[in-house]
Amino acid sequence: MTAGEAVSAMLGQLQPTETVDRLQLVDVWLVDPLTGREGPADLTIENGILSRLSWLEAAGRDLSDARLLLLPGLIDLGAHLGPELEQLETPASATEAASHGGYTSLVGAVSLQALGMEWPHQPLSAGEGEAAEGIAAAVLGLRGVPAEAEAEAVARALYELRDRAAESGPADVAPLHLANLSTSAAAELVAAARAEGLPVSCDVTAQHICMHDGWLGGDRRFSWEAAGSPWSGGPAEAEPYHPATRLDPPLRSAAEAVSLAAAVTSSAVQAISTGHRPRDEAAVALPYGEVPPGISSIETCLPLVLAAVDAGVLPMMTAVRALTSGPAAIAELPSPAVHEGARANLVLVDRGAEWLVDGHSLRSHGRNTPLLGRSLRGRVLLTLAQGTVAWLDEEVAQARREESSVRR
Amino acid sequence: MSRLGQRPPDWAGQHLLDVTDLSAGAIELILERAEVARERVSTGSLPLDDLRGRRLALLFVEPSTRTRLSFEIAARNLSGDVVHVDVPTSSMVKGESIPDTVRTLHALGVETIVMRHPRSGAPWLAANYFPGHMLNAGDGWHAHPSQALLDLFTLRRAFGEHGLRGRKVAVVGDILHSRVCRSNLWTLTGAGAEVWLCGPRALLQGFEAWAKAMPADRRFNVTDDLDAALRDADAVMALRIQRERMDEALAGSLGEYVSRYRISEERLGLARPAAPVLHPGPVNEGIEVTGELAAGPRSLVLEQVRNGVPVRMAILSLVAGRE
Repeated sequence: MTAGEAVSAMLGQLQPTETVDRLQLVDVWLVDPLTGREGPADLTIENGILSRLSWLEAAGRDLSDARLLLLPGLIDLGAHLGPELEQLETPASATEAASHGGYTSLVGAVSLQALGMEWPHQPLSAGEGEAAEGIAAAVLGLRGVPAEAEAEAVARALYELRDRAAESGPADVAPLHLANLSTSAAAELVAAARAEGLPVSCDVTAQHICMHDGWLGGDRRFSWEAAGSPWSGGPAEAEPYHPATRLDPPLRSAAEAVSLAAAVTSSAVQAISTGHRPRDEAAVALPYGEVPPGISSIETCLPLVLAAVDAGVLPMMTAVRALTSGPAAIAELPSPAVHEGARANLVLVDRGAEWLVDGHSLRSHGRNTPLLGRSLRGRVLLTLAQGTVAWLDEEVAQARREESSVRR
Repeated sequence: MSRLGQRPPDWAGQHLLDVTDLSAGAIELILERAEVARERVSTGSLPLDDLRGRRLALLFVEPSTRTRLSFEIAARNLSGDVVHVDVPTSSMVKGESIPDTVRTLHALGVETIVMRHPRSGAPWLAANYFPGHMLNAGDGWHAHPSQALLDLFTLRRAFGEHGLRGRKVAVVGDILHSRVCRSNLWTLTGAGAEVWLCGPRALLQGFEAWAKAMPADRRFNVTDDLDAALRDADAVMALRIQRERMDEALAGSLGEYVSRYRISEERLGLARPAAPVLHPGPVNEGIEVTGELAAGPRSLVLEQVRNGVPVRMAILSLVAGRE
């Protein structure tokens, strides 16, 4: 039986949007961020509940043998699905895009504020800048913002937090979450403040780890591939000035992106978020300096993180924590549970399978991504949200239909 | 029908957005054809027919006199039908988008657009919505391909058959905001010149890192020391200073700029004897260079203007001519 047939045999009975009656997942590579255990496992889900979990003998197997990866449903802190997007995205397209990305829980900016957390996007904003100060800004003639500006803004926010904590005691001060940091220097400041006992956390986006300022010029290498030989302005794989390379904060140098990954590994950063900001074509058909920043990224975040794992830039357990238990703790959500008796919030990924990022595969109506037209490894086959099938890969569903018609 | 030449089937592309799109061979072809065009212009054997029956729009969303005139004369010398998009009165200032504007021009039968825009990268956006040929006549701080090609043409003529290989060229002034500098950097290093970029520290942001990242055969030097840049230089290219930008970047110290970076006969004594001085124009006399130098025998400023027409004729015939 091929891997595809095995998957089809496992998932063939499922119907989208229905609660799972009975599903057996056989010999999948399970990563449980709470216990810190990963390895081959068999699982049974009945009536939407994880009814049986048995870890298998690993017997010298490691992650590299594991084709099917089973993770807790991903949790995002950074998706922007506010009212300004209503004309582009519908609740249905937003939900489908999230499920396709492996997400079972979105904590929007609005609900974070409701939790009493600060959303310091403004102080960290690039302001007048069009790009990070550095080679790409110099080559492309864009107004650069220095990396130090972010660390300075974070230092100011931490200074105020320290003040408030001194007045009311660290236990009573509202926690501070610093979203979408893009420099390891800023992340290290947060780590130092946490070590003091201050209630502060931070996240980074997958694009700030995997992409870099060379992407503005059309370089499409991942940051770990470009760190030793940054793009210097010659002809590149893609056209320069792709509007979805304009982010806030801006994409930084490849070396900075790699050190940001190291900050996740060292736990200076607690979460990886999507920074998903879908926009329609007309909204970004402007000269680069006038483009509103943003990238449609909720469906590509997990494949990008897995690419970083494959490259050895992030350990698998660290990456999964940053996508699940890390954001859950920040948003004060229940931790994602992978144990018998728990409601199934799971995502099954075919690590080896590539998929083409295009208008057909993306469920978000926002097609604003420089990954459009590129194949990514790591395909979400199934997303179970609260025991219900939120995403089922079309090809798997199709294969099963063909199989059953042959049998008939 | 008399033509400058055909558009070769393997020509570098539909548009000319940046000099980095041009191979060494493509640049050579432009310069050779510009020699022929220059000869035709000087003998008055005009017009040619390369653009006969072709409509070309000059879309200048930023004021320009010499580049716009130079493109217009070049197109007319090739019998092109030139239309102007008069931006201050056009719908672009009423908020019409770049995609709408270029689609409209296409619907009006325009096959080629020569575009000048104050924002870096704008011609790439325009090209994505225009089925014809897009020529970048300067985008923001980023690129000015036809200027770099005419500067290269001018320097090659000045240096004779050995060309630019191993020659030291000092580019002096507002490096950060200069599209002329960025495009010249590629064409000059591509021709084998040793390029020195020189200006106040605040106007060199990112360039030192860029220089280090360049492949070994295109390395260039970055300095805020004018003497180091001028010493033994074979040619000096002064860049235009825009007062508003200088005020912003240098906190208003234009006087200090002049005392440190203005090129005079005296300072030019550091360069090789008879090293020519170039400037993309218009010259702010007494600021970038002394008036005496700009009008003197070492100045190639008017030669640059003169060469602009044949170089743009060559470009138009190659990019927008018939196969």
